[in-house]
Amino acid sequence: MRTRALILSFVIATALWRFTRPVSPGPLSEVAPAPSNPPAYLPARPFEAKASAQAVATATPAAVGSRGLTWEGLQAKYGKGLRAEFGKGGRLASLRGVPGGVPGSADFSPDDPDEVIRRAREILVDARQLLGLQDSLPVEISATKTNPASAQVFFQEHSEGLQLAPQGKIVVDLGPKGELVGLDSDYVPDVRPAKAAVLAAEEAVRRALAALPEPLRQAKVEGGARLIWLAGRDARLAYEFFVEGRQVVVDAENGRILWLRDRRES
Amino acid sequence: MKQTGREASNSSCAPESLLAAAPGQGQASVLYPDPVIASRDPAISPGSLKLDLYASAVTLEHLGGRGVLEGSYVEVRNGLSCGEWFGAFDSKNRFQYAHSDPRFQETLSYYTGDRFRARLDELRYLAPVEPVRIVAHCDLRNNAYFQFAPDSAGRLYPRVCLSDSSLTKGAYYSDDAAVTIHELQHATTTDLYTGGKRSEQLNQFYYDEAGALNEAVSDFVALVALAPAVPENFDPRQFSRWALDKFTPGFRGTRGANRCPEYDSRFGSRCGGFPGLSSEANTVSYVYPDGLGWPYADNFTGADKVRQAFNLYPAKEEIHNTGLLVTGALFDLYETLKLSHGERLAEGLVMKAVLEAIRHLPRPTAANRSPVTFRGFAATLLEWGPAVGLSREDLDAAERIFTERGLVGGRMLEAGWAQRGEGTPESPGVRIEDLPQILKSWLGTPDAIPQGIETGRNNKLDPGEVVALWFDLRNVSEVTAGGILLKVTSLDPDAVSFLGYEANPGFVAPEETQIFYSKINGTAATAALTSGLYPIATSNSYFKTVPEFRSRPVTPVWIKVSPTAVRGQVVTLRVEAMPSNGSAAIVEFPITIN
Repeated sequence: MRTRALILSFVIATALWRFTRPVSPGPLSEVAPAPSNPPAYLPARPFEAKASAQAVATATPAAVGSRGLTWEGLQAKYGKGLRAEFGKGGRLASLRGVPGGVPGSADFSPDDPDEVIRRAREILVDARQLLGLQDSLPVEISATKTNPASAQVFFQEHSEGLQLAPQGKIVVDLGPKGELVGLDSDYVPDVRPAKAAVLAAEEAVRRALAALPEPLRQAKVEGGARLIWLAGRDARLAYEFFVEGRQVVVDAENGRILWLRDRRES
Repeated sequence: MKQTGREASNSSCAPESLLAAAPGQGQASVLYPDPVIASRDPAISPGSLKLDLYASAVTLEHLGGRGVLEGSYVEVRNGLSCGEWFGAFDSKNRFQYAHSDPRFQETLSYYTGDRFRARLDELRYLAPVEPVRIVAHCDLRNNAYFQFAPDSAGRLYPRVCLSDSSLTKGAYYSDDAAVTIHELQHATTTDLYTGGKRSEQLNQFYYDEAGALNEAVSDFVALVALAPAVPENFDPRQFSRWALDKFTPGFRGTRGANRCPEYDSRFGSRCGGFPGLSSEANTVSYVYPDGLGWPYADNFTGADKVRQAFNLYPAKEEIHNTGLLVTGALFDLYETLKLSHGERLAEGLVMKAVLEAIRHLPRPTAANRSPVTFRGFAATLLEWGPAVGLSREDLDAAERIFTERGLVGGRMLEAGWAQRGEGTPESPGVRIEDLPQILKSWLGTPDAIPQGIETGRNNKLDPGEVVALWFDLRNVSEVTAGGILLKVTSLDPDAVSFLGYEANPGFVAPEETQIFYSKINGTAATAALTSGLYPIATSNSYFKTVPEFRSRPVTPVWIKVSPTAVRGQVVTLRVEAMPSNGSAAIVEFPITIN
């Protein structure tokens, strides 16, 4: 039984490698080289998973994995009481289960980040087909939340080594025994490649400031990470800045303001 | 660094090099939770010269040992005098200052924040785990807020800003523990819901129930954390009896968790008219959804206060205002559990139930850009209550309370509840704002508005224009519609399409976007408000439920009309209106290109 569980875990982890890849961080003035090997990061203690925004799922190279389950297969494995909402193109958008549903492994504890991540990955592999996950658009773990009652794992989609925004998130919600109680996805499977950036970072900063009301135009600009900004299926390479709590996303090709939102909560 | 007279006489910042010396505890002098409670004087004002008489000696815990207000759960900096470096400094951790000394506010912020976050840790819901930076006397005026901010190395840290009042001398938001805790709770809520992502939050649209829930939780958590410190002859359900109540001359912005607003004719008898809605009887109850949008504080005079509240209050959909209903329901639950469990245990149970429920709230998808609703939150809390220790009796009580507040059960909107309303004479069924000066100020990107005033003042769709548009949905049911997500589809996308995220936060595709309306009166509520001695000019349509909709760019959809659109062509926008309390309804809005 133990050997079988180990083999199953290996197959799941390696299958997930197909769509979990390392990413390059994107500071304002220079692009850091992509790591040659995917860094293994698993949180040692609860809540510490969020410490790294660049957390990468543990991955080992492996053979092509499962195509995933059908909706009936998912229900059979995770509980017939699961309720689903499908979006455009028939892709899975949301799942809702109930606490006390089909449990995970006997070793599962919602307080154990390793177990939580393992279970979340298992679910993603099984739901791969329904979610429309693509090898060319991998997901990375951006945070894991654990406590004795439940656990949540947050995944973020990437394209061309950069984080997607504002969509591309998958959140897996687990009950105290590893049962699947929720899954929400705005993963985008058909992102067109973005054009190369022509706007220098300094000019992008200037455009960001110009988009703000006058008193803020003298403020300090922070951030500057590059990302892929989605508007429908149109992918734009962009810079993301924060100016005294205002999030400003600037198109890296033409300098247009793609998004401006006050992220302060009063 | 900005200098004021206050800093010139009291300016002191901690040295740049801090050496480990002091122990983990310190001594402080505070006015906790606010000067009104500390003095037992409801009339005391920020300008009082007697504030120091009411300060209490307290012990500060969890200090890091560098002689500054830096600890395991919070650290407090001074924004105006010290450029967000530490202000208060003492090698023996003696932080006792006069109220007029800016370090007094820093110290009170530390005391409040440390106590609150230590309690979250005790309950095993400390999030984010790292200390929150509180900036007292921050570089803002007349408000306070939370954000995830990047430091010089680009590392994110949670930051609360507590400003000073520019309207009243000697008034500091740091002096109000309710405000401090409210903002700190935003850090926890955001961290639990988003995983700590700075570019995300519970709120999705400018006004939605997700955002209102965010505010309600922050208000509630502050009330329940401070309730033990409130003496019997003061109202523990009043939020911010100091900052919101006293800092703005001539206006009271206080909020509360009572079952009715202060101007309800039976507020003094613990909202004896609950549940009720009547302009004539001056009765408003915070019951969902009719209770949404009514302000709390009594800023009105005369006999027709409910009518005045409707006519004069311009922010009916604003999230701090619409959240009152949930704040009240949660405080009802706390007080009920207190009877059987005692104060401390009841506080812990309700806190854990609320925080655990936040973890399980649905996240946005393309199918629903703002899936969190008040009713959904209540259901989630009931579902996960057992996991945090709520007994069967506790859950029964919660369900009863939520039912009384309209958050569970109740009469639901039937199919076909929505129809096309009157709209405007220029554009039946809708309102179109096309005046370029207004639109440019709203969008902040002048280049996005191509039209001039030749076509841009007729409130119609002209070829080549960019406009803001609202739908006058009419509710033909007796039941008021609450928490309505609108999914809007252009059936003629070649002629009319939607701007992207730069304008539409609910953008899905050029032919589809989403937006959120808080409430549309049903016919029963309309009758209660339009009849009798003080009839209100409202009705059962969105435009008449929230007449101020047109004055702010928070609930329109932004549309682009193709330059090649044919004049006289009829284009159709289909609206799927999804209320949180009933069936979805589809209404089509045909609009003629001018």
